[in-house]
Amino acid sequence: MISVKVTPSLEREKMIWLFGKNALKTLRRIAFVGVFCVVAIVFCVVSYVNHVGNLFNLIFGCLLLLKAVTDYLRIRHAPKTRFKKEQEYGAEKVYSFDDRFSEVIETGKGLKVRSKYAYRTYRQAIHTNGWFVIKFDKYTVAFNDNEFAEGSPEQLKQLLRDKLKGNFEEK
Amino acid sequence: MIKANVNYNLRAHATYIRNTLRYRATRFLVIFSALMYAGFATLSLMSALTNNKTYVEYIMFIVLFFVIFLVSVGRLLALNPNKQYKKYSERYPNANYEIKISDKDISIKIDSDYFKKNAVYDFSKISEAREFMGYFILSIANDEQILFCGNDLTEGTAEEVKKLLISKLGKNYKTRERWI
Repeated sequence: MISVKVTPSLEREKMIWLFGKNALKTLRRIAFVGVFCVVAIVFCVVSYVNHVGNLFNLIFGCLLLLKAVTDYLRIRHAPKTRFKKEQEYGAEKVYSFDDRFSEVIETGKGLKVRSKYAYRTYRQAIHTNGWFVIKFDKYTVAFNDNEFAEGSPEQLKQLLRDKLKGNFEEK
Repeated sequence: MIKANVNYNLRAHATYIRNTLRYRATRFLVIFSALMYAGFATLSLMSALTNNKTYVEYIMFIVLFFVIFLVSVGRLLALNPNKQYKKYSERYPNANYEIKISDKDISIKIDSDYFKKNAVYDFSKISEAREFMGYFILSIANDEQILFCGNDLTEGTAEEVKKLLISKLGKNYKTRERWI
């Protein structure tokens, strides 16, 4: 029996942001913002060179640039906003790993959740820099090597290797 | 006490997806970029016909909105409920949902072959509730969503659910019969 006790932390949200299910999407969004920026600058330059004082183009270019900047800031602050949300939700989670099922128990003010997952529902698991990151269909969980209440990281690694085979990565 | 035995089928899944912000935003982008593209195309055509002149800006706008249109149509097609529901039902076969709503809290029971869940939430943890095409969609603070239809109710009626949710959530209860 392996169990991990987890409370909300910024570090965790950063790990999820970096390695979680939406990590690729985040990268794509940053690239998109870059393209947006270039288009905006092209608009501004063309409006300056072609017709000096063409206000409409200049305004449009500036609006695009503003959108790019706000998008970039939102992406950068995603872990922080996510952390605040988790704090508001205020759940203390206990993950336990069994031979057949893994279990999540969430307790907190005004909530009591107990869920059981078969290892089939795991999409991918990663162990990197002392962190476990496990991806499900819709969300990702992450926990540290120091947060184990029962069992050891080595045991969990062995279990995940047996259950997920190719879908468990060690970096 | 209100009880529902949820029949989670393709129609429910499609309703859920069509109510997400992502779907709505993409659909708005498709319509908006198509309109802008058509507008700038006619503008440049008119200026070419009347002044025998085409402006670089018009062509730039046309290309920009055409690219946005193509990208957003691709994203809209990727959100196809059919495909996603198939994936979902393969992953969670024989799923059985039960929802109970009392004056104090909401409890959910999900039972499927590979996934089981027993949850009790206070009304303070429900961040928003929506009524959409006969479905009730409750958003929990944890970004999870609960969905059930008026026809799924085994105890109580849709009117009672509405009354209870309005009295508990107040402003956070939103109705959208149809949207453009």
